[in-house]
Amino acid sequence: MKKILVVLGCIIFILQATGCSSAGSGKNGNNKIVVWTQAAADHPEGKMFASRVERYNEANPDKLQVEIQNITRAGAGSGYIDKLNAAITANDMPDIFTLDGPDVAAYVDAGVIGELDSYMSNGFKEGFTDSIIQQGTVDGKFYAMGYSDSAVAVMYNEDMIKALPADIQAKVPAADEDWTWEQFVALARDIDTYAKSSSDAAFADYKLAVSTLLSDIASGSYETGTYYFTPLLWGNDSNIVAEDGLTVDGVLNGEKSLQALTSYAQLFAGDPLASASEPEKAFHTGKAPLAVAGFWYVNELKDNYPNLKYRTVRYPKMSEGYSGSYTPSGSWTFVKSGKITDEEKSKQVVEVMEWLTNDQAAEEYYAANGAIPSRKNAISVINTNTDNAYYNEAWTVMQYQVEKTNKARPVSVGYPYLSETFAKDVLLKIAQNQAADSETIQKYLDDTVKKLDMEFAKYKK
Amino acid sequence: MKRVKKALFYLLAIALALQFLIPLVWMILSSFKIDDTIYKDLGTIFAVVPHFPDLTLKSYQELLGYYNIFQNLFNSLIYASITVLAGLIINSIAGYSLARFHFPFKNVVMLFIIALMIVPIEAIILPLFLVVHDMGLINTMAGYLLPFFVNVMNIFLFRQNFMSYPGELIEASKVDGLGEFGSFCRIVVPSSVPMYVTVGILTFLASWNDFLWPVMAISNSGLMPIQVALNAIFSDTYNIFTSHMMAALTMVTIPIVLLFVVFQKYIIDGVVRSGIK
Repeated sequence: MKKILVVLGCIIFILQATGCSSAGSGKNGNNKIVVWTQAAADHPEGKMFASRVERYNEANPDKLQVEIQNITRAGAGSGYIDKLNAAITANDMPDIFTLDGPDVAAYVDAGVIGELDSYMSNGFKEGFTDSIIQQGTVDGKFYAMGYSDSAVAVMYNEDMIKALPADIQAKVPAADEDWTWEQFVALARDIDTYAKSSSDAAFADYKLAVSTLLSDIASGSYETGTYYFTPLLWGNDSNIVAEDGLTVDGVLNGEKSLQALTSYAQLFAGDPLASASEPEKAFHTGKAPLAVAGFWYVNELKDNYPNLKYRTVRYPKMSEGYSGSYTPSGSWTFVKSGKITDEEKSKQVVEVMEWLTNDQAAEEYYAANGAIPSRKNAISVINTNTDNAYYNEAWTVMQYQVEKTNKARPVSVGYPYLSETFAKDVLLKIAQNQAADSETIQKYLDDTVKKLDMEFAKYKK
Repeated sequence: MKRVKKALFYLLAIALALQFLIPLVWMILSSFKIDDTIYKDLGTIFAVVPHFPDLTLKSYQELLGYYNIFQNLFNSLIYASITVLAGLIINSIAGYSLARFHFPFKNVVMLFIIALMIVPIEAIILPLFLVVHDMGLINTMAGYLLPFFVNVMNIFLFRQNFMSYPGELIEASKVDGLGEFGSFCRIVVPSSVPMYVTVGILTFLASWNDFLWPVMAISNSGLMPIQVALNAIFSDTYNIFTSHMMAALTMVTIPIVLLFVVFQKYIIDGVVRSGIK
């Protein structure tokens, strides 16, 4: 009996002795500004935020001090998002927090985040790239300051392409040339036909023509699919949802969307060129000569696959005549709590947000992490003059797209569901069932629209 | 014929063991390779057989440069140990009460316990957060650990174990002058060590593998357990190193494997005693 009491006593003592004092959670009050981010504290991203905050506090000792908490996320955001949503429910939310760009509209609709226009410095908003402004704007008001941008291009394996006959090689565009999805699929088809009949050593490990990361959708990362392939609809002057963010009928299942998705489906027609279950790192290891590649590939290839000779060309346009923006963009953003009632505090909160996302911050984030700057003035900081020509070319292409052709994903209060449903019920289904005819695809789209309409009915007032 | 049967049995056993061991061996070997080699070796014999010229400590050096893994491992060890210690005391007493005593609504309590066993943690995480928050315990060690001292599954396992305990022994100890609690501590507990070890390991594992609750309940990064660091490595979109993931997983797995190796005799015994197979 005594032993048990001693053990329990010890446990209580340890709990009390090591109990960490409330370091920012709890009611924030007006004596500090609390910032939550989804970056891990030990990671360069978390460290760079912490460093910016530290310098803000040093430079402004007479103002409210800023306290940052970097909360680790898992996968697309769980962990961090769960904690954020719980804090919102408990009415104990931080003053500033991060959200993934496409999720902003849902939080605006819930009245959780506050608009920034009336507190921002003159001209600050205009300093962001166009797609970052689009991403942060809901119903004409600006809510979210993106601290980095993103880009997707097409990469090819130089050794494999050089092993092809000259007529096929000629189909590969230059890094500064636009090309169409049709040309991309035709190139992939030619490569596939050649690879399957060739004994060239360059194709010894060949498994499929194009790596698309569709396997990510199958494993639950739906956003990758929507992020990668919605641009095919944009490039055909269509979208997955109308401007109001809730109308899908006539848009997602409209003629232009059907056209774009039927073209997408050519990757899986007959002898498939891509797969919903492709080998892990298929492009990196020479199993796929082509890849639809996110900006993160650039540093990954430089650091982990130094022997891979890869080249980068622009993301293909669905329709040659289309002149609007169409390439993938967007990333995580800083938003302001909508519960702050003190005007003075609101002003300082936005001042801190500007400090965390200004030109200098964007440059620092690029230096620390390779994050694409979200500020027009900072894009030039991307180093395209290193001694690695492949790295330089990749960044030159992505830099061009960020400046000229990037477009934000749709602003919709139901975006998470929209993205998941589109990726799972359209993109993945086409790939898995190798559905290439427009009748089948139209049916997938109509079914998806029905599903989305039922979900979106709750948002329509 | 007997020999053939035996040989077949061993072959099957080896094949089954390999099926479980190969992923573990692949993980450990991959943690000593660079990413390029990991994927090049995939599908070849070198994925699971060491090719020494390819092995390097680079991933461990880089990982430990990025993340304070040892601090996270230490935190996890402390949290898991406290949870195991407190959990064994509380849950075994509860299980013993349900097995040996008669009190009103005992069956209703048991029904609730069984019903709660099927509720996943994700379903109660928000209410749990709100309760702990309203108690002012968010971002405290108490707020993090207290909710998991009581575990319905462990209460159930102890109850099952104590149900089959010979009542005569307890009665005899009472005749010898021990009280109810004395009998429990001096007679029942010492002869139920396998059950305690089994439940202890299950509790340790649950605490060791928990990610969601620590993120919800703690904000101080210095106090985060290993799973939080692990998720940070896995969700890194800027520095995607499979070798880092494998190195981190290896470091996280080794203590658990050691635990099983040391206590395997008790685990099997405990599982048999509880009637849970």
